[in-house]
Amino acid sequence: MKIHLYERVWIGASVAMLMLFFGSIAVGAVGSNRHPPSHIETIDPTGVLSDARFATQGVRTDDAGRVHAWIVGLTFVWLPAELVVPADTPVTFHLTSVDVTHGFSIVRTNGQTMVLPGYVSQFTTTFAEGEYLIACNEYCGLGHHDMAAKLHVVPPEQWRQATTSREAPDTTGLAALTPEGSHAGH
Amino acid sequence: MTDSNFRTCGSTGLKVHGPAELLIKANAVVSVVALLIGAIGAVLLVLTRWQAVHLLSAPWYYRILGVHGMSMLIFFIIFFEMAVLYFASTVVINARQVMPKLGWASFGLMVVGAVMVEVMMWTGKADVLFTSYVPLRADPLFYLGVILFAVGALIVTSMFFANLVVAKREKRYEGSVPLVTFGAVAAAIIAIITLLHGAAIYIPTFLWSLGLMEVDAQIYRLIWWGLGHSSQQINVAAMVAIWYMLGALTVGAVVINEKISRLAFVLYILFISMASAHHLLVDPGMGPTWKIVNTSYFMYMAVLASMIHGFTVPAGMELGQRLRGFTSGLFEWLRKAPWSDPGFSSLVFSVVVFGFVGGITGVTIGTEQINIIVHNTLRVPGHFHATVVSGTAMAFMGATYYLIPLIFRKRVAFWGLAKIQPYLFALGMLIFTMSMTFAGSFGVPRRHWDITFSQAPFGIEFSPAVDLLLGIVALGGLMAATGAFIFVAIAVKSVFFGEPLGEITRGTAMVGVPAGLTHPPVHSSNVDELNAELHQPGRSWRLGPAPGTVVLVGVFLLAFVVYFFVNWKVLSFVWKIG
Repeated sequence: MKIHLYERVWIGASVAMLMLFFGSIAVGAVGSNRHPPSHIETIDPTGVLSDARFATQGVRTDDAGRVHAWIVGLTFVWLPAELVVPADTPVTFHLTSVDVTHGFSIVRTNGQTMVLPGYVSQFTTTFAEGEYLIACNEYCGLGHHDMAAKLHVVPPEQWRQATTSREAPDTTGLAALTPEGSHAGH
Repeated sequence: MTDSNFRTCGSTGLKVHGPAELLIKANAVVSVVALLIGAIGAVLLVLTRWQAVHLLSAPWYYRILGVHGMSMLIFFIIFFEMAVLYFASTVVINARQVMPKLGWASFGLMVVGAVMVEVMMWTGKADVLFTSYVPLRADPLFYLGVILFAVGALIVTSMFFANLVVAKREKRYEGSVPLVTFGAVAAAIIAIITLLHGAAIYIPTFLWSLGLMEVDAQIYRLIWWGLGHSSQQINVAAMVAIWYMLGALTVGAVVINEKISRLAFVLYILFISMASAHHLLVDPGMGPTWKIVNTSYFMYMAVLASMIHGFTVPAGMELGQRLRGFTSGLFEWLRKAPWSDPGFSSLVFSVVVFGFVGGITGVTIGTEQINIIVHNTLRVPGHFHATVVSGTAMAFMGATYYLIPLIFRKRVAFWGLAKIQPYLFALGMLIFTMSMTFAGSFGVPRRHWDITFSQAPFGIEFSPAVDLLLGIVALGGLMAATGAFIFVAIAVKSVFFGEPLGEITRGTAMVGVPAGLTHPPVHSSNVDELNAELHQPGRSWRLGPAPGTVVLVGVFLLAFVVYFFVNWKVLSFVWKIG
């Protein structure tokens, strides 16, 4: 098949561009192990709240001292509706849904995953200090826009003090840390 | 079947089969009705997301969002594609329509299915939006409507292949099918793949809605996007086929390399179903290897096909113009192009906005890692309105300006408006898609009634820039919707109350007849001389026979690379690379 010179050049340039793009994906994926949440774990969607993993929601540290956030989505709330995590510290989020498909999005960060009934989504990321909006970004019913939560990211020392001052390991530490402490109850 | 059912088209010399013509007309008319419903929905939606106006209540916002999606993306586009399939398998190759009664039966099925879906949505029995992700539940009649519509479309697609086989046997055309029909073949094959995915997911979902079986939420998303994304590739293949057709009709575009163009269509068929995985990049049910393989390697093979068309279509137009004698400088061929022919201006805007906005954003946001800051923000509808509206719908509108005289044998009504309609529509969509993309980069979610979170127990706000951007989205959306209404008015008036075409006198401009028909683009008498000159080595700074196109695609490639890596840079702010 005869291909004109300029077509050859163009196809070559396009292939080179796409290889460059692929290379950047490979560097990000293999070189730095950067991936979107791709954690394959399942759960019985009808028994989420009695499942050991999600029976209590909120922020907990494991035996190795790593920070985990356990969150359940249901129409039209995230449980818990406010979270406090330490800044510049890896936080591992675990999420599932008890009803329909939701989208967990910590706005303007890379905290983002679909939340599907029957599956546990998991991702780990770090945050700079500040307050972040958590929205539901997948339509989940007529009250979808009301499904929001708030993430408080505080200095690590302050966060540790607040957690150790309490006995329960599953504290959100919220009452000690936020002016809207009264919301900690739900 | 005798040839008595054929008429010969006065302007193109093509033989038009009566029963095929009627089916083309019926499908095109219903398509325009769906466009009207969808465009009314669009106005209501942009006026709601513009927070200062916030027109609709929450339930009606979501309801109309579903109606807009189904009416535009399914009913408008697929009815039009049915017309394209009938057209490409009969008129283009002088062939007859086989089994016209079956055509009418499937048309009936599709109309009944579409009406069922519309009724369920408007009456609030299917507030599940376009994607209807299980376990959101709609009335079983909604799913049944979708299934009936899909069965009808599947039968029409099968009839398309039957037409081609019969035409071959009856020796209606010589050699291989023309490129336009080949593009339609690609669209039809992808349509079969798409509709099979549709059956595989909507039939179980219908049974689930009746309580007869379970459907897993992740499996639903996987198979549904085999339908939802592949159907967009039907649009792309049909759109590219129309690009080649409009190029030939308006500026005598040549196909520089038939085989390469055909190969590019084959790439669409082979690779696009896998590429639909980019919708699932932040889903929990698949691993990273699956995600990367599907969305880079497989998707890029389909992207390569679009890159090839993105070069050969403008290069073919440039060569066509140069062979007509517009040879000076880099861009005389563009300056002297028939800009007041709505078929031509639609073609140019479709190519440019599809490529520069739709294509570039699509490849970028479909990248495994970059997607995490893009998924389900307004950047997503910003992208796909640039492909499916500015690209496909614009091309379909451009084609309609030629179908009205060629098939309906009417003059295009409101001719003055018709000449500016593509400009209004394209500019509106450009403003709309770009401002939506910018708003999305602030993290604003799509499909969201109230981004002020007025019901939330805490205060949180998006950047104030978002309010301004959503106002601009509304402005662009209203402009484009006005363009769509003008198009509907032109189509309806032309088809039902239009002035008969009459005899076309070549070389005499006629009101309501595109220039490609009154002044068919013929190559100049010294075409061989011009062609030899174009192919002389070393002319035009060594940029070859189509130097203007080389410059334009160079700019495109540069913009592509810059946009892609700017997004990596933005991602690096939240994800330290390395």
